[in-house]
Parts: sequence; structure tokens; C-alpha cells
Amino acid sequence: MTELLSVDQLRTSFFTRDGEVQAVRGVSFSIKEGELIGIVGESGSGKSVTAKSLLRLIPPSGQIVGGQSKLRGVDLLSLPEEKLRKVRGHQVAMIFQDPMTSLNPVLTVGAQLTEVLRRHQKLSRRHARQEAIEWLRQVGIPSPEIRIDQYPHEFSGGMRQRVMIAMALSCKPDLLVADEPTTALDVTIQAQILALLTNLCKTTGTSVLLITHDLGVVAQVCSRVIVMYGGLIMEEGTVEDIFSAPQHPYTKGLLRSIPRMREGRRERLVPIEGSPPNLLNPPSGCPFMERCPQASSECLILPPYVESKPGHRSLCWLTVARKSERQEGLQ
Amino acid sequence: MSDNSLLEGRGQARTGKTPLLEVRRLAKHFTIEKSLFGRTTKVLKAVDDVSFHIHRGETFGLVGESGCGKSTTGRSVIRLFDITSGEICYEGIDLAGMNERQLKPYRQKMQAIFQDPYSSLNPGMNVMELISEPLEIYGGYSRSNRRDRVIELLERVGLKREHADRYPHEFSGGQRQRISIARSIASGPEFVLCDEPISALDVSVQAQVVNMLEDLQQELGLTYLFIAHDLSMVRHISNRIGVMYMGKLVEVSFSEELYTHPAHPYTEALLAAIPIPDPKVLMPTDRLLQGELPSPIDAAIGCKFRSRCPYASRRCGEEEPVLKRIAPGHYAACHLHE
Ligand SMILES: Nc1ncnc2c1ncn2[C@@H]1O[C@H](COP(=O)(O)OP(=O)(O)OP(=O)(O)O)[C@@H](O)[C@H]1O
Ligand SMILES: Nc1ncnc2c1ncn2[C@@H]1O[C@H](COP(=O)(O)OP(=O)(O)O)[C@@H](O)[C@H]1O
Ligand code: SF4
Ligand code: SF4
Ligand SMILES: [Mg+2]
Ligand SMILES: [Mg+2]
Repeated sequence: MTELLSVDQLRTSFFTRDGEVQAVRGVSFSIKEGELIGIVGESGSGKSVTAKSLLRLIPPSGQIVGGQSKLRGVDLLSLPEEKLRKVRGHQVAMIFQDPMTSLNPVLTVGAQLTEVLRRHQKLSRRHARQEAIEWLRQVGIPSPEIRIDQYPHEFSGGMRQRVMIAMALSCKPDLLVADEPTTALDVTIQAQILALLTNLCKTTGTSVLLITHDLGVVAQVCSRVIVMYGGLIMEEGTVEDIFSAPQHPYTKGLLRSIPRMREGRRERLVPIEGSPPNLLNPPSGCPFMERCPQASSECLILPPYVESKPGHRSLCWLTVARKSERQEGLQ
Repeated sequence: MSDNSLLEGRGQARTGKTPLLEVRRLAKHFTIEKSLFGRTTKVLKAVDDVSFHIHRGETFGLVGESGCGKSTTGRSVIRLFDITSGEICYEGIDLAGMNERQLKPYRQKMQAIFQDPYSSLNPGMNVMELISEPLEIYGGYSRSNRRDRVIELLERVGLKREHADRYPHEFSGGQRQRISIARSIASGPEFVLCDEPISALDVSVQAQVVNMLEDLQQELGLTYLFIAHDLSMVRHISNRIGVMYMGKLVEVSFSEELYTHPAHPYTEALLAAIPIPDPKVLMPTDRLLQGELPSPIDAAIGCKFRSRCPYASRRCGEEEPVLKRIAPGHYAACHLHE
């Protein structure tokens, strides 16, 4: 698989009255063609800011202070605005948690969908309408011929999210960035939307960057996962590696804190004590230090990324130590 | 519903004792449109003929899709509003028709924690004021005793005495939920309605709050009505669970029984939709529910689930199934179980 997107040392901050909020503090990763990759982490860990930075969709108080985000070799962070506008919605599409904020309430669903279609493919009005009805059908909206002339408020949350998916995928993007697309929905609708998203992306070959805080969603949908905390990537690997051989204490803590379906009730849950760091004055060392049961004074300095096996890296002094032990063992 | 008697006093091993709370044929209807002349034109049956009981010290979970009537049921039980019909018996005494003055002793015994720790705490009050408010209302504490009691409560929920002078916005979501918990147990209640108390929290913090609720239950002998979206958390915390669909209770059983032997097609579909946090166990996509909730306003005859039910037959369109006992302590409302 060839590389589609490559993000290098991305840093984004918000300049607020209280000072600089360092939301993303040096994030690097890449996405291959046709790949489904997940970002997990608790709220405030920098998932959404990372996603929005990729397309320079940061609100005015925010600023990308460093890094690159290359789509097929072209750095989106230094692209002139009008060229970037062509990339958005064409090569890269985005869907958000609350579809109501992204749909225009005064235009019918059909008007919005045909507009997108006509912008990206030179279609006649009639043709575009036909195509729009087809897309609504594709994403599982019943009676699309009638629904197309309705307004967003006449749709349920799940249906609006389907419309967003139809709009995003109708321009056949190379990359779809989906920020918590099912968090506001019920599990039954979530399951439908996720099945739809993965099937459509498989058939069109679209890569997906899926942001979620639900480890179950990642396990079911993604092939690779990035774990974020305090504006940094803590660990990255295939879902199999992350779920069966997590290396980072934060990842381990996250996995331990979910109640297992197998387990009988009243087995005590294992939380991670404490709360995430303040990104206004982030710790210079390991951001997880305050909550980490294995922290030592060494952790006052930020560890380097170390691969425990190819494609599985983590940011923790324990991984560094394990690696050097292994190397000594080999010698 | 004709089968009410089946739901009475049938807790495992607790048979014989009066339940702490017994809800009989509860209905709460909302008027959503009025004609020019003030006549009601449309009625939304948010809760329609719901019966269940909760034993002292027990946790009863309530699950179902958004809008199915979970919160309305919970709010009816603690009498946050007048109900349309039915009985809410607390230790055998019906609260349904009581006025505010008559309710006062019960308000002290029944407290609540809500989902949003941001909006459920008054931002203009500091922690000391927030937690001492119920102490003032329900009395029994002098001013200096009150301060001691607040500090004791703060420490009990894992906060520090220094926190007493701070305001809600200075706390994280998990800490705010601890403040809500301290406030809810301040008056010494017996029953606590927990309406999605962990839904707005991160996974790692959810476990902190659930552990705390379990510890408090043990220590203080509390009884919980626990409402949640997260089906694996509900399974963890509840002794018994009720599944709601469009204002109706469609299945009630012991937690393990419900998860291992779901009887109602809706429960089955709900469980099949939980994303399993293990990449090696793929979800059964063939059991995914199709379609969405029909409009709650359009009253229909027959089973409310039939538009999405893979097993629906003609009878399901003609006759509404009632909750029936299908195994000891296990009830379901579906024609498949006759
Ligand atoms: N004050 C009200 N006026 C009119 N309709 C209401 C009112 N309160 C609730 N409803 C309606 O009653 C139904 C049940 O609502 P309820 O809040 O009990 O659902 P819920 O199961 O708690 O949902 P959620 O999971 O989203 O919290 C919904 O259709 C809702 O829109
Ligand atoms: N518009 C904004 N102004 C100031 N700070 C912001 C803004 N948006 C996000 N942040 C901060 O950036 C950090 C990361 O936020 P975000 O990426 O939204 O987290 P999440 O991982 O939950 O998506 C948080 O500390 C958040 O408070
Ligand atoms: S670097 Fe130290 S504090 Fe950070 S996760 Fe590893 S052991 Fe814990
Ligand atoms: S009564 Fe009929 S429609 Fe309703 S759940 Fe049972 S089989 Fe399905
Ligand atoms: Mg976010
Ligand atoms: Mg509710």
C-alpha cells in the first residue's frame, strides 16, 4: 500500500486570555491508501484539533505553530487558501459529531447534496438530482425520492449523519476524516452507520481517519490505532497489537477500565486515578506521569518513541528499557 | 396490562419483603400541540403503562434508545412532575397524588444525580454552598455542624477540604460528578436516581465514579435506579435490568440472564449492536437492527417494535403483547413467548 497522508511534527496551539493552550504538541503519523485508522484518547487529548489541523480548519484563536501534513507529497499546511479549498471536500472530506451544525438548516437535503455533486462533477441539474437520490438510497434512507425535498430538521440524528456520509463520499475523496461520527447516536444506529461507512470505503478505496473515544468502535472498525494523551501520541500499532499486547501504561489503563462483557457483575472496575493534564502548562516530561502507577523520576524527561516490534511504537521509558534489555540479550 | 401481579415482590431470595419502590402502571403523557381553542391535539405517550419494583439495597438498571422514556420514568418516580396515571409506592405508600407539602419527607429520602455535571450544578455557588444546600433544606444541622458535614462528604467522594471554596467551573467533569454525588447523599437518602451519571465522562474516569457509587451503596445501604446508554456499564452495576422501547417496558430480568438469554427481539438487537472491545471477536452484523425508531406521536396498534422486528407476524400488527413471565424473575412482552 502506498502512503496517502503523512503528518510530521504537527503542533497546534490556542492563544487564550490565560495563555497558550498547547493542544497538539508534535504529532507524526501516516495513512496508507485504503486504510482505516483510528485515533482514541480521552476528551481534551487533542484528537479533534489534530484532525482539524490537517485541513487548516482551526478556529481563529488557534494556530498551527509547526509541522507538515503532506497529501501525496503536497504539504497542505503551506498550500495557498484557494488551492486548499479544492482539496477540502474533493480529495479530503470531513464529517463531525453533530451533523446539524454541518448541514444548512434553511436548504433542503437535496439542494445541499446536489450542490456538492455539481461542484465536483459537471452534472446537469436533473442528473445531479438523480445521482443525489441514488446516494440517499446507498446510505440507507428509505423513500429517497420523497426525503430529498425535506429539510434537515425533518431528519433524525442518524439520518442526518447518513446524509453527511453521502455528501462526504459523493465526491469520492481519497481520505475521509470522521470525528466522533457516531458518538451522539444510539448503539443500534451507530452499528448501522459504522457498517455503512466501512462498506462504502472498502468499495470506493477511500482511506478513513476515525476519531473516537470508544475502544469498542476502534476494535471493530479499524486496522491500526493511534492512542493520544496530553497532545501527544502515546502508542501506535495494529488493533491486534494494541488490544493484545499494549505497551504503554496509559493504553493498558484504558483497556482495563472498560467493563468486560464476559465478566460477571460486581467485579470491581479498575479506573485510572486522577485526571488529564492541563495543556495550558503541559508537563515537560511524560504527560501521563501524574496518573501513571509506574512513574519514576526518569519520567520527568520526555521519553523517545521506541518500536517494540515493527509498526508498534510507544512513548514510555519502560519500552525504552525493555528494548535495551532485549538488545543486550541478543549480544 | 393485565399481568401486573407477576411483577410484584419477586426479587431473588428477597421474596416476601415489600420492595422499597413499586411502580404500577405508570403513564406520563406530554401534550405537544394545542389547537387555537386550547384543546389538546397531539399527545406523546413518553411512558405508557410501566410497572416494576426495586428492592432495598438493589440496583435496577433501565436501558433503551434515546427518547424511549427512561428519564421520564426516573423523573416520575422521584415526582419531579405530576404523572398522568399509575402508582408510585414508596414503602407501600403511594406518592402519585401527593402535593409538595406531603412529598417533603420523601424528597429527603429520594435524591438524584444527572448526566451533565456542567449544567446540573449552579455555577454561581461554591462547593460548600452546593453541598450544604440540601442540609439546610432538610435540616438537622447547625451552621458549624454543616461545615463539618460538608467536609466529611467531600472527603468521602475523594475531594479535598480545600475544594470547598471553589466553583464548579474549576473542576473536571469527573470531579463535578463527585460534587453532584456528595450533594445527593448529603440529606441521607435511601434511594438515588442515577440518570446517565457517567455518560459525559471519559472511560477511565467512568470507572472511578462507578466504583464510588458501588462503595456508597454498600456503606449506606442505598437503592439505585440506574439509567444509562452504555450497556456494558449497566450490566456491571445492576442486579436487575429493564429494557424500554417507545414508552413501554419490553423485558425485565436479572442482569446476567438478560445478557446471556435475551428473550425480546429488541433486547437481542440492542446487545448485538454493542461494539466489542476486542478485534478478534467480530460483531454479528446479520443481527443489526434495520431502520430507526418510528415517530412516538403516531399511536399504532399492535407491537411497537414490529416495524423493525425480524420476527414480526400478522398477530404483531393486531395485538399488543403484554409483559409475561417466561422464567423465574424474567419477563418479556413479545408474542414469541407465549
Ligand atoms: N417536557 C416534555 N415535553 C414534551 N415531550 C417530552 C418532554 N420530556 C420528554 N418528552 C418526550 O418524551 C419521550 C421520552 O423522553 P425521555 O427524556 O424520557 O427519554 P430518554 O429515554 O431518557 O432518552 P435519552 O436516552 O435521550 O435521555 C421523548 O420522545 C421526548 O421527546
Ligand atoms: N477553540 C479552542 N480554544 C481554546 N482551546 C481549545 C479550542 N479547541 C480545543 N481547545 C483545547 O485543545 C485541547 C485539545 O482539544 P480537542 O482536540 O478538542 O480534544 P479531543 O481529543 O477531545 O478531540 C483541549 O485542551 C481543548 O480545551
Ligand atoms: S514514561 Fe514514565 S510516567 Fe510515562 S507512561 Fe512511561 S513509566 Fe509512566
Ligand atoms: S411481538 Fe411480534 S413484532 Fe413484537 S417483538 Fe415480538 S415478534 Fe417482534
Ligand atoms: Mg473531540
Ligand atoms: Mg434521558
